[in-house]
Amino acid sequence: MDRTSEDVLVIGGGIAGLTVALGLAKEGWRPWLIEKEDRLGGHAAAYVCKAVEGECQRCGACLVDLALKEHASEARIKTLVNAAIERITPSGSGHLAALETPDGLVEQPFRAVVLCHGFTPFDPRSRTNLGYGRVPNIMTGHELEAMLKVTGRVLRPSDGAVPRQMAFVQCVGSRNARLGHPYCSQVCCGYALRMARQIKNRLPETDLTCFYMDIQTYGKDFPDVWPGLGGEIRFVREIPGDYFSLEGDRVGVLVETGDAVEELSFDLLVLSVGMAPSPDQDRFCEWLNAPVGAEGFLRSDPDSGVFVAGSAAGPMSIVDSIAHARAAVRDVAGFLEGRK
Amino acid sequence: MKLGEYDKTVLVIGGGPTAWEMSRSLAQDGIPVMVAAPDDAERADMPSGVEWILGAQVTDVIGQVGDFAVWLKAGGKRFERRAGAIILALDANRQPGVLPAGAAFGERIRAMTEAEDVLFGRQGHPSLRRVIVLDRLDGLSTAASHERLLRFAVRVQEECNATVYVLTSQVKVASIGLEILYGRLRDGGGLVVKPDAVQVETGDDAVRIRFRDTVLDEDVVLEADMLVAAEDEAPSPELERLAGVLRIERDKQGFLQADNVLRRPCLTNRRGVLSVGSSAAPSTQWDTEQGVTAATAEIRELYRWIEEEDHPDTILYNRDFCAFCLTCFRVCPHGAIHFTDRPNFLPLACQRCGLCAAACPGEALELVGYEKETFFKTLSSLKPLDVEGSKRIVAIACTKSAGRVLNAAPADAEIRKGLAWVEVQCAGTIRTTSLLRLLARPGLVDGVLVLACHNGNCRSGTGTVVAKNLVESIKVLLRAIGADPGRIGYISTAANDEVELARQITAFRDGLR
Repeated sequence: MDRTSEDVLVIGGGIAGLTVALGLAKEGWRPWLIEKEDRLGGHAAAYVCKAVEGECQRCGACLVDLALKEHASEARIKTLVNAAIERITPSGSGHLAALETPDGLVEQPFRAVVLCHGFTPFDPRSRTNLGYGRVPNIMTGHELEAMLKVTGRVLRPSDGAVPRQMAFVQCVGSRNARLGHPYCSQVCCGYALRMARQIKNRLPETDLTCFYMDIQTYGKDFPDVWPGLGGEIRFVREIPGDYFSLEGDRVGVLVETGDAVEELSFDLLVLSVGMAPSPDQDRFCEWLNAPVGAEGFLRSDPDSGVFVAGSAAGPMSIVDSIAHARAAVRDVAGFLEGRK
Repeated sequence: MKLGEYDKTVLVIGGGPTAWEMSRSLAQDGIPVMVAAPDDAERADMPSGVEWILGAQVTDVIGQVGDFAVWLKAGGKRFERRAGAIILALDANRQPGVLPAGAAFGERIRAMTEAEDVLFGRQGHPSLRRVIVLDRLDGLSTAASHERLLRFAVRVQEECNATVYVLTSQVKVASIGLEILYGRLRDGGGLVVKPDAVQVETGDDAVRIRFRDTVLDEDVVLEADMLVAAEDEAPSPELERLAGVLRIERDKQGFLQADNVLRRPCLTNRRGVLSVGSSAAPSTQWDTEQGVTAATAEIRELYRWIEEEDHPDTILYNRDFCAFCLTCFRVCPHGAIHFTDRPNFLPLACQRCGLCAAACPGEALELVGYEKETFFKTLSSLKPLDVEGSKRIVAIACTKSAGRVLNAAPADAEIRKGLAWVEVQCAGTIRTTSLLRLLARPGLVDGVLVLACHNGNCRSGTGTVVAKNLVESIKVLLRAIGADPGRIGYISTAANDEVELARQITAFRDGLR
């Protein structure tokens, strides 16, 4: 079969898009890979390695680097960064994409489109009670990751001091039907507790508290880690409702303990923000008529040659995104070869 | 058994829903499939074009991807078949958790599998008003076990019109669709409580359960017609034997997706031997679907690689130095050595880690591209730059992690100050002699570092452990001869962690006398 460049458009150059494009290229296809940012790798490229004392915590952040390396030596992928999608319209049995690239507008027909536009982190500003942006020293898990990755240290934003009391608040923007997010974001227990362990390892004097509803079994290391975690981290089964600033730029929260309301305060508070559908989703939905699942993320429509891979299909970890994208490779190849 | 014939047939081991899904997925892609089903129950809906061997046990396997010779036992006969790849797709063994003291299984207290038979079997639904579902209370349930628990609870609610109380310590909803299922349980009147100090009393007409509700902080008594113990997914008992036959690693719980992030979701330490669904790890329906489809993609890619690429020898073998000691066979993490009257290095199975060559006591083996003499020449030509006020360090770095970081860092970066390094395919291949040669150059080299991958992130699985042990043994050696053991160090890192690697190299440098 003639495997031309007009076959597949992969939208999004994060870990899912990279994996799909690499898999299709290995099958002999010549996919186009479109990324709106100026670099590939997506969110996960900014995540920090969470190994503790030489033990890999299976977060998968380094796998992005591996995919980028493989991508650099794969000539069959036509990669466009800084590129936007102007629109996609039906064309014959396929899709005509108008792409806004740094070299101008390109119109290109494709037989299949793979949506790998990923997720958007829940915006804590949309819930003013969380105090994010208003109360100093409240940051998101993503910001903590970036700080660890770039500086290797954890410091209070307000004064650069080492935090002595630190808290993680779980399920921010997740498991909340009223927000339209009737799902567990799957990754937050893993990232928060893995980072907490790393912080405890580097700053043994720092007290850690975790506000939570239910702790998810986030990896195969969980059974080894969970029984001992209670000794390292104070677990409070409640998500605080109000966040306020105290003297010395400490963060205060109120929690109910039994019949009393207790005020707890921290040097630094981390919101474990969940994953929400990307704002790009609506346009793809409209152009490609892609179905939306019960959780609000996109579903594949294999009969029309529209596929979804990675966290565009729902919250998932880096390793699950890779699995999902590997599976999509087979489905897309099957479609292109005319099989079901 | 003879090797050397390419056969594309995939051997799927298992006879349940996962094996069925797996063989259907492969058959759809035109890949020939043979299923070795351990039980001998015929199923009406077997995918067409798939050969099912009922009551089959795999007893021996040799060879490499594209060319496995498999011995099977079925129907009292033992026979040989050929396969290009092998996929383990045995379903989980379901085991109820430990019941609280005083409780015993019987008519009112049942394990979930049994309860499903009683409640939804041919006899129809017995009349029930209240059902308690008791999960394990140590927080170690998985999304896979809760998917089943939630489906069961919702079904009891909707089909038996009974009120359901779920007792668990952590609701596990980290898989697509589970939070919605959990919502359906609550919307249908189901109650989820997080109990402590659970006591069970069984009466003639009811089962009574007392506990402390950790959220309300109150003592609670619940009465129900039946108490159902949730079940965990344990590995199929057959997996242990098969892992031995196939020489593949298992995780601590006994599943085949070993604790190595590079092998997700379906790979094992042997190329062409895969595991899916509950053979790999406790799996939700979503996990199994992704694993099965990803495994099909993997098989397609493997076969294409076999057909389209050259596969030259990866190991140079010198028979004159070989003592036939089987060390290479023993240390190879990838099952790439087949012993006949000599070791045979299977090029399709070899993943070029070089652990065999490093471990060979007779030095009869060399990894192509990393010949000993060339490597020693590179080593002795390494000259760390004299940087004002800095010690000189020579590092041997795994090319997969530290090598990547060092190459990517700018030449004037702190991490590269006074450092010269050479890369190896795996830190586990570093030989004692290489490190001693470096340490024996005190005028030129102040410190020697071995830079490896983190444990659980090593492509060869064991390489990082081998490297760490080697450094420890050299420290012992240095101490014994009165030399400074602080001159040699071991650091593990990942390809994306320049900041932490720089911090540790600096700490090592600062510690040098």
